[in-house]
Amino acid sequence: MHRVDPVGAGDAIRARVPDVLRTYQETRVNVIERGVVDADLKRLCARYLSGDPDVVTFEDGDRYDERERAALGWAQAIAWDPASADDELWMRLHRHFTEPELVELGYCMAIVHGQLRWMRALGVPPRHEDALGY
Amino acid sequence: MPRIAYYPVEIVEDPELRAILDHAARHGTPRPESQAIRAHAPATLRDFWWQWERTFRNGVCDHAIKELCRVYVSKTVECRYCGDQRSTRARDGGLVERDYDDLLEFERSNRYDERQRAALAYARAIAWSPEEADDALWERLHRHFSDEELVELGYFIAVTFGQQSWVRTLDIGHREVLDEGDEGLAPSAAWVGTR
Repeated sequence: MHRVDPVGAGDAIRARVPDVLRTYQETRVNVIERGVVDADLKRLCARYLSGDPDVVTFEDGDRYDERERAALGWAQAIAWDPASADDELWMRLHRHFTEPELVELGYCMAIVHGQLRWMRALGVPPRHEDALGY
Repeated sequence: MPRIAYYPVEIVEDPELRAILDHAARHGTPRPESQAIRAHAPATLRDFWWQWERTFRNGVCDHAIKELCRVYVSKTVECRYCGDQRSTRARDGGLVERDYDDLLEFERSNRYDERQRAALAYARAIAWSPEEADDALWERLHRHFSDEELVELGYFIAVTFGQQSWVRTLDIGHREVLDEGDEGLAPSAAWVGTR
């Protein structure tokens, strides 16, 4: 147990530009940690986006429920395969999520996806379990 | 039709959100349709506004470089909706439409200087091949940019890459909501509605 949590590598880099650190901290609080979609689902999608081998095979087996599989299918479309965001995927998404939930989840995945790519280019990729809001 | 219905923006009363939407309608950047989607979740509409204001329109790195990187990302993500958007601030600063034409061949084109090429290589590495961010690329980047500029530029590229990757799944098109003219659109999109 740390008495004060250390600053992660991502924030240590963002801190070079106070407006960048401030903006991302606001995103982390207002969109990633709070909101209408539970953070556990966002964390699961972040693990997919970070390439966690336990999650990228989400379509195999029955480890994840239908709601989680719809969200992970969208993560796959956003990150790798936009053509897979077809009528069938959108029907599943609308079955399990309200429109405010879809917007918040999609926006959150977009932010996380971009930050993970930048962190990889910087040589400081997070552990899969820390991928959300790194 | 968009995959998520546009929020009925005419009912928005919150002054901050109203101002964000009015800005999109008048200036065309960020585009009003993507903002009308974000309006379903007000925190995302506010958040994107501040991402855009602090790390794209303003900041420590010159705006025109960030605009070139944004459109480079559009062309590689193949989000035509995003790629038909133009920064009026960059245009007022001297960027012309032909400056966008060679972005996919930026390493070979003589339209870009060494600083612009280094920034575009940074964008390519972040979006598509982080393994390309090797010692040689970082040496190029540090030759032309301060650490602060590299942080802001990299952060913005990450934000716009993520947003465009998301927006391309939504099937939204120009002039579908809050249509007050062609401001913020590429000439090729200004007269013919495009998706």
